[in-house]
Amino acid sequence: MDEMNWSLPPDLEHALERFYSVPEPSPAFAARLEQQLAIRQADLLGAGPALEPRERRSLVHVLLTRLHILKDSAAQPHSPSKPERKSLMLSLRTRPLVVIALALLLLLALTGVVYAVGNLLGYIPGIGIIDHTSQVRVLAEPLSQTRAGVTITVTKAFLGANKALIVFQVDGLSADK
Amino acid sequence: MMPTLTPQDEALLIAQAPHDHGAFAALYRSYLGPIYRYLYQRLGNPHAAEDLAAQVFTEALEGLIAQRYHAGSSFAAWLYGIARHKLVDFYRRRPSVPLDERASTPSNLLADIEKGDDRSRVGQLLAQLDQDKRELLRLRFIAGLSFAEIAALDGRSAAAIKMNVYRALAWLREHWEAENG
Repeated sequence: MDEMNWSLPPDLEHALERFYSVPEPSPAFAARLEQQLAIRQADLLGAGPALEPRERRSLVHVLLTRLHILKDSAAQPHSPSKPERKSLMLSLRTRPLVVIALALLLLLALTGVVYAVGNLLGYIPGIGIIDHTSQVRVLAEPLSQTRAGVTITVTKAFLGANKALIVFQVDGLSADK
Repeated sequence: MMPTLTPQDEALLIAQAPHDHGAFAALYRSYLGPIYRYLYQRLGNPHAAEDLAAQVFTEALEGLIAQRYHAGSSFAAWLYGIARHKLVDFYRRRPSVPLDERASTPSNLLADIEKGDDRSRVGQLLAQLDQDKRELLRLRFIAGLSFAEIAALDGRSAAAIKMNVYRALAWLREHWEAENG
């Protein structure tokens, strides 16, 4: 490598310099972009307290802090030794698995909530809304009985003061029976 | 041409930049010129160069905050990597834009011929080099990157980069001398 001759003829060197000389960015553009970057950085960091980059925090805690329901200890004046908090969207964008897990969690929670609200209102799947004030009896699990090769299965039964509903199925019944 | 920050100053600024705009602004001021010149040379258009430079520094800022930059690696190489991706995106969106050197565009070529200077001749010689060597010369002479920084950007060894730059210059020297007697 040391034997390499890096010298160029002066006119070639001059021509290369001229060829590669391009204008500097205009001061107006440089100032405008610097201002835009300052705004962008404030947007990204402006949501408040710092998240420790490697710290695993409860998602609920993060969300509640975001919504200003909880006061976060990092909401103190900025400490130069601690990295600032990343915006929630930025954090989620970099962690697609967290987004998927969050979506599944919400779906499960929503299903549970619907079931609980339905129960509270007296809703029985397949039957509808029932009156809580009167006594009702509901078949806990399907029942079946077989006699002479014919099976009767009661799949659903609802017995109320004014209404009775029984859903059943008959198997093994031939044309001659 | 090269950023004037010492490596120690630069490392300090990079560490502070995610949460301190002053630190990021110092990096920005140090690298805006070289990045803009590199983009301008590739695009030949000041407006496109400004647009892409803005995208490069915005992505660099977001990358620093999101910790996509690995401390200890070459910041210049990382920044020029972003610039290259932006150029690829730009050309993908606008395939009709010529990819060749600025000097080879008809208007520039005509202007150069009218001037009758050496610049057009060296432009024609450079146009005969393969894209890899042309890019190496750009990174060396416009961006002012060291062999090690170009190596980090290209994923090759510094020795291989140095050899390729040397070969490109040797080829230029040989053909220049042949043409100029």
